[in-house]
Amino acid sequence: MVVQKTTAVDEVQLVYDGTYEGLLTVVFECYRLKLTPIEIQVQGAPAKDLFANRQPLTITTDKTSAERVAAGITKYGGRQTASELYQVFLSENGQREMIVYQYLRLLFEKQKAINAHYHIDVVLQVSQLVKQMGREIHRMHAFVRFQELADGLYFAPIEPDIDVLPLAHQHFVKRYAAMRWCIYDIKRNYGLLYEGGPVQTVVLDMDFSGNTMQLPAEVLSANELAYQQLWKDYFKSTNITERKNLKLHLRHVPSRYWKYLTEKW
Amino acid sequence: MNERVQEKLKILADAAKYDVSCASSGSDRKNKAGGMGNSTSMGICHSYTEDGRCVSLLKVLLTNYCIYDCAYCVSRKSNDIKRAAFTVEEVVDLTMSFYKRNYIEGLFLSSGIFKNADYTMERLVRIAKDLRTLHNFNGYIHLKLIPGASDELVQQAGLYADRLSANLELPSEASLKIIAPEKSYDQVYLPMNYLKEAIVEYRREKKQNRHTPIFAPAGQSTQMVIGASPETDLHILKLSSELYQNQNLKRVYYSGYIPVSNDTRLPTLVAPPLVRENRLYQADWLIRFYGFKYNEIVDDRNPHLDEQYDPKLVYALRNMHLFPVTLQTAPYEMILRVPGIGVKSAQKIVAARRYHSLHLDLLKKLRVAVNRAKYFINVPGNHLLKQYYPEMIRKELAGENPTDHQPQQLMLFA
Ligand code: SF4
Repeated sequence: MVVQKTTAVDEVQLVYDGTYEGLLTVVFECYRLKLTPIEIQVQGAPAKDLFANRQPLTITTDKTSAERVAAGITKYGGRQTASELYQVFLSENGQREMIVYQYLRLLFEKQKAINAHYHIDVVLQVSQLVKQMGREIHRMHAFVRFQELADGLYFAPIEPDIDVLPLAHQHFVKRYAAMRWCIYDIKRNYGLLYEGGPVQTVVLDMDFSGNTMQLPAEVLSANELAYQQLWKDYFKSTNITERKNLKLHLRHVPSRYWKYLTEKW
Repeated sequence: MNERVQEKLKILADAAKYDVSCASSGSDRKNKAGGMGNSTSMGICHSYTEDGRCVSLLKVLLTNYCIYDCAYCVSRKSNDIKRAAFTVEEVVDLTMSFYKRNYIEGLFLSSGIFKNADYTMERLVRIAKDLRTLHNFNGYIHLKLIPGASDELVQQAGLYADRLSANLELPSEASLKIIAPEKSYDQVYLPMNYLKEAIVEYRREKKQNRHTPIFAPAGQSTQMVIGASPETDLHILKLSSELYQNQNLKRVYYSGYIPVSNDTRLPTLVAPPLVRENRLYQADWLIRFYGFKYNEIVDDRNPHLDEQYDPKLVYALRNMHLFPVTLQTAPYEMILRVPGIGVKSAQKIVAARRYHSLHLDLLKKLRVAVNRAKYFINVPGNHLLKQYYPEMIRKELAGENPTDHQPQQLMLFA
């Protein structure tokens, strides 16, 4: 779906601060200033050749503007649309800003939910990205492996394809409410720490360059390695050799996740 | 924790692995303040075995000592194997420790029968009870009902477990009598029916008083071994349909017989009947989610499922007069019957056609397996119809794998 052009609008490249609020502000400003962006980029990202000789317009994030757009999304698209667009924003897809922008043009034009308009490219794209995100979130729920540290904290290093920690962690807050834990995204170098209250963001100075994510014995609780071994033994004994089907195994557990999985160490 | 636990775990996990149920879904147990864990209605597979089966639960036997001698079972009395028994505390500790590390969704506990049914069942219940009451555990618990266990113990099991299962073991009582002479269908149906009533009762009370203690929220399931006895697929699917309808079972599991003994009561097989097992799961899936009746899939003239083609395709080929389906206007139920269209795609089709006329390209975008569906649908852009006869379609689709209803064992979610 190409957004309709009218003669009154200007084609521009826009730059924002990389936050979701920032992106919603961009959308707000496009309406107010009658702009048609052909590229929306995070500040500081390398410029594409195509625009090398143009001066991008910087949009300053404004909470009130963002809130008005957010309210519009919920009003016309409902909470599902609001959540889906946020997921698209987190998807790290190279076109995510333009996808959100185009989707919102359409939503505000129709003034009702457009989730099922699959014949429109941007709607289909959103539904596919949401599905992708869902898969990655589900993988995190499944593949996070905690290791108990000497002080009783349960620690799990991860490296998801997409930055899903903001969406995936609620599950752990509910499930492990009575535990102290930290899930650490080593690719994006931040983690979420839970100690009973609200989840806190932490940045650690740790080396995760090993072949596996098994932490050194010195930092682990006395029983940790024994439980890891028990789990590995258990995993081994679940196999039924007569049924072996490695292709299927790999489809479910792609090898890039193996270094996080205790049973694969 | 010590080497003895390690040794026991090896033996008792190995003995339990043939029990196929791995589902951790269908429950919705919320965590409580200060509690450990919850169950989500979707369930999570935390890992997959090398044969591609979901690992969701710590699946172990309490013991593989057994006073019975069922021919198909590794733990049978006459089999010369290493025996072991966990203590209640050991199982509780393993479950909690694995759960806290996010290895598992919970516990699947079964057991050989030592001393007698109630003696064994009582210990299974104790483990579930300790987990819930002493450790505040709100993860998933599946307990096997020991054949012949008393109503009181079954009732208690329901108070602490999410799901319970009494296994039919074989698709007919006649076969059961030959292969597992100490067992009877009565021993299985009694607790099954007791539970069914208890669950109905619980749901009724719950409506009036929401503080009614939770009771077996994920219902009950059963399992039967396939290929160790002569029953037809018609017989098996009819039995399953009755179990879904009359006993309100949530799941029936089919387990392709894996030769674990050369007992003369059993057939000699070169390989487990995995294709047949797969076809049964597909047919079962069609019955539960696609609105098919068992006798639309198999009947007296075709008492066995086709090995080469999946049951949905076979149904379509046998009923060409119902096709092609005009997707733009057909009812949802009929769209579901088109080979190559799964539940998700069918829902999307019904949603999308309200806004736009369907065409072949759009169907591809909605992830319809157009290569299969094209013989059975009427949609602009599809010019394939009419020239095709069932035999020609069979030939063209030979060797293709259906993707729209993979059997449960291969699926991410139940
Ligand atoms: S009663 Fe159960 S454990 Fe014992 S032999 Fe029969 S199937 Fe195996």
